[in-house]
Amino acid sequence: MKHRKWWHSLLLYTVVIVWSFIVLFPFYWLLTTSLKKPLAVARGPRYIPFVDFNPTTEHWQYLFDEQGETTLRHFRNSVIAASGSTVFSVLIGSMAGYGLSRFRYRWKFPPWRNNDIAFWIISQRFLPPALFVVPFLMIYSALGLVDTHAGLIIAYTMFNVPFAVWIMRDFFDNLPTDLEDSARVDGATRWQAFVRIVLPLSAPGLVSVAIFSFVFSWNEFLYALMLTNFDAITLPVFIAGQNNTRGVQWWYISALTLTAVAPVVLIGLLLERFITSGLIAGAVKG
Amino acid sequence: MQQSNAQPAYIEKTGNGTREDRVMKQVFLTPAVAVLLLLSIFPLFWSLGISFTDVQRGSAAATTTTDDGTVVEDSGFLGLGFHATLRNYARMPEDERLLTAARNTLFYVLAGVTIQYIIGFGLALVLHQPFRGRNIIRVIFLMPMMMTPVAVAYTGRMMFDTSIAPLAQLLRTISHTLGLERPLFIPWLTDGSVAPWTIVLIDSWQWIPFMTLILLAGMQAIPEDIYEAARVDGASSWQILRKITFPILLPISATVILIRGLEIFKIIDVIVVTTGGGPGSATESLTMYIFKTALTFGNYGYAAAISYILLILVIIFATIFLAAMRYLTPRTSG
Amino acid sequence: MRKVTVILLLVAMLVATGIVPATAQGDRPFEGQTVVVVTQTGRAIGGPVEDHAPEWEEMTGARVELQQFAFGELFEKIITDFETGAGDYDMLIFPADWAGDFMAPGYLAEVPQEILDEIDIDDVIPLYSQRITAWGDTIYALPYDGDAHMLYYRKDLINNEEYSAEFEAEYGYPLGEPETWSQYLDMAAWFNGREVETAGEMAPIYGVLEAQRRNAQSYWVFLSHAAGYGKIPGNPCFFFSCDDMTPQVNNPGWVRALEEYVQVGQYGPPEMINYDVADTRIHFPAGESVFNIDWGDVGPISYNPDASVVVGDVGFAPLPGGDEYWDYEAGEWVEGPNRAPFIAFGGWIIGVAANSDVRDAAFDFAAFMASPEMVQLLAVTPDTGINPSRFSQFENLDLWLDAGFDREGAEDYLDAILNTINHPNAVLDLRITGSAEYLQTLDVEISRAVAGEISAQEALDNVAEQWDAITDRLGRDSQLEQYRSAVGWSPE
Repeated sequence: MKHRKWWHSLLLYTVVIVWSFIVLFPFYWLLTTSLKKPLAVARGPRYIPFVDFNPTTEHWQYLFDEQGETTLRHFRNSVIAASGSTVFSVLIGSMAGYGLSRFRYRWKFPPWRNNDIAFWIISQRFLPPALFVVPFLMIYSALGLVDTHAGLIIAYTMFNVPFAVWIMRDFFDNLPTDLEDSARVDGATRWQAFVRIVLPLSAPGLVSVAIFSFVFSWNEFLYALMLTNFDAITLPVFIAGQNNTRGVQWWYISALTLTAVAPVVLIGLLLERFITSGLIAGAVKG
Repeated sequence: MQQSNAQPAYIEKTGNGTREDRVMKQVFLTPAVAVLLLLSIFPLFWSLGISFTDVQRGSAAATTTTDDGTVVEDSGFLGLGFHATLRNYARMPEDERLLTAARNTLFYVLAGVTIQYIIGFGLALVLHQPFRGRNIIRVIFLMPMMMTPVAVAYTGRMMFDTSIAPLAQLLRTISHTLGLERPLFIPWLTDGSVAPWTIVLIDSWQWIPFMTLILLAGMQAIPEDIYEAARVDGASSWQILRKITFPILLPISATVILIRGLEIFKIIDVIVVTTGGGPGSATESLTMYIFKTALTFGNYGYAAAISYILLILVIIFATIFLAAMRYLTPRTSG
Repeated sequence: MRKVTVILLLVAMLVATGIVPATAQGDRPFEGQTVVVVTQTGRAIGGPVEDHAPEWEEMTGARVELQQFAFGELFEKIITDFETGAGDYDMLIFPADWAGDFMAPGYLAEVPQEILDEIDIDDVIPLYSQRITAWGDTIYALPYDGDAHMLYYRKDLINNEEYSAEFEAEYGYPLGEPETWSQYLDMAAWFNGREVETAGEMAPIYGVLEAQRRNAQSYWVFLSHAAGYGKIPGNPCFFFSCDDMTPQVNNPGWVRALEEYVQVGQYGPPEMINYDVADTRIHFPAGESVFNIDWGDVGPISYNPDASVVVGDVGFAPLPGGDEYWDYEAGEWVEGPNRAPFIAFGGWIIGVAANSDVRDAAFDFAAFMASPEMVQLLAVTPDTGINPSRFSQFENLDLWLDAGFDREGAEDYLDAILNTINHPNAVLDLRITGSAEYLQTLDVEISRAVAGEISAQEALDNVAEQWDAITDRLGRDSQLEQYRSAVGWSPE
């Protein structure tokens, strides 16, 4: 495969460039729109700052200065909900993943073994969230969890745990047991071996799981819409709330949208290899 | 799903049966199981129960009129003490809005996975060769996937606007250049027959890269010597694709289609932002209808009943694919 | 030791800067309290709170936090908050027709008499001060906004004699303020696509701009059409029959109205199906159409040179009527004309949550926002969403002239509103428990008809069926009782 036919290369680079354009252009458009004055948006498409429109930072100022408190409140809520559920998902997920990888379970009722249990766990991930709209609404209001950070963290943990278990189990399956064995011989308890030896060795897997949990919780919409009113509203709900009446204020929406996606897209850029490996573990080996 | 072929090294085999291990074994798994039992299984059955009642907003003081006309005072805790009824399920066949939402949801799933799989596979095929900038392209591919769908939807709405978007201008320019009598005008989000497609397009923009990345990983796992052997036998590129690459990738394909399909069943955010379910009821999904029924109408019983319809659709879809995967796996994994 | 000192210092700084503001003054009654205000997104309605809250914060020492939701989600958010007892919101600015869902279950606090005195309640037109803010005999909200649909038209075009002659040759009557919906449609059809002069430029113009977006505020525009054909003079029961709560929504009058609401789609821009009033309020003042139906907001906007190219060219009129109407009791069409202006929405009103822990502060802020001076200022300011609701606003023409209206325009505008709200045949919005649900059902079905999915008759039959189901679910007798009292109907 050293020598490619010339039209192979042509096709390859055409596809790469066209698809990159399709992916990147909307981001460019968001950025430029956030810098346009309203008239530059309304008077048909303007493409290049300084060439066919004069950029302004007034929308960003509005977002972070005049409206700064509101913007930051929602941003903070997103950070709390996403990090909280990430911590729990990683903890619970790695424990269960380790258990399923290292021990042999034989449940009596239902009569399941490791693979059945793992399958049951991952299958929970695919239940439509709409199924829980009514029960969550009722349970949450009975427990006073509506519009609290704890409420969101609990709900997101439930959605993240299955995937976390699945990835971590796969990771531990491929992790040799020698080191923990020798630690055990040296007198470490099972828990010490897990915390001091196994977890540090599993950093790549843990990072994968953490990213997935964080991104899922950061982006989630239905539960945030249903379970928050004021104190805990996250960014997606805040953005969706700009609909209709502000639907025409594209400059403002663009700045807000960029603000909301920047953290996760940055995570994507910096930690790309963990994400790809996690995705592949999830899909290919699943 | 496919079971992993490598047998895990159970420690238990060696350090079997110590008391500590017997305890720790449960300690490790219990939190996850407890979370799922409490937050998934329990609500699931509760919801099933509610779907057979007519619990509604303000339930504490609700009354139910039974079929013979007597009024029953209900004072159930969270719907538990309510009157059992089949009314919710009986109402379904006549609820046009429900049928439309179900049809729309199925359309999103089928059209979505088809488009995303075909384009994703094609892209993976093209990218499955060494070239400069390959790592960068992987990063670029990840960007849409990381975005919250709400943001993707706004971006889509801006792209598909019929007056201020570059796409609209492009269409105008094309029709102008071609000298068309009626300028090309696509009512992306305002026409009931176009809008569902536009929503699928917006979802696809976000998720085609997912398909590509996974399928690409699958292709890279195929040993090079299989290809070499085929080439020695004089197979054309098309034959290699049809006889080797595609069949080997079938199990992975089924998995990604299953994952995407199940995800699309949940669609609501993109629709809320782009069309709000309209025009007419052309784009409303089941999840959105459930949300409206529960939160706007406060009709919890009916919302729970519809969510079970959604669950049944999801189970049918998943069963078909799991069966397909089981059927496809043995032939290729040996 | 050093650590302790640092910590102490930090604490001292925190206390000094944030937690205990050094400026505590005795005459600022609500020092340190936070009032959470919830309303819809955007400049309209929410904007004034954003703009004027700082003045009140300065006076009282309290803080206002504004929480906004898209109109399509506002009801869910508030009702979930009440239902689940989350108790996040202190003050609500909401459409008057949700009264049945908010006031009836006791979620709102009764307005104290001194607050009513403070805002000079006697200056408020009784329709707004008593009917829409009360449930039963108790007043649960402060009047803030006066709302009625009206007709806007380009008087430079409609009063143009050349056009009028040409139009008369075709239709047999001259152009003028349309009295009936048929005339409205004739004129819209005649103008649609015609090259006319707008702001010095010749350009094709659309016939109408009417909001038609689903999950927004469009269904009120349809109801405005329906009122002329479905309202029986002397019978206040419009949505339902007051005998047994039979929905009237699919009677021939309503069906004709929906057919026409669908028909106007041809006389507007292709995107109109996705326009909410927020959009038509941008496009009509930009000179894009001859007619527009909206609340009073377009008046001030049309006089705002930053947003309008048709300053002084806009005429104001009450809504057209039906040239006939359907008498559902007799089961026959009756010759009109039947003008039945629709008091759509009834206006945004301000309530205070019963479970608010800063109730006094919330009422004080509510009174601040609903004070005569504030409301007068807001009504003449473009884009606030606040329309006149007080006698003083109709009597004091200077308010309007100072805001840029010309005398003729101001008189015309105020007349149109007064003629609407004082009209003996005016229709009040649906104000019973579940009204949000009734109206959303209507919204979906008319949106399907507008999109061409189903016929007008089918759409409204569906609505009627669902309305019956809702009524049965909520209890037919109690609903009937509520509806009767809402429209002021009693047997005999």
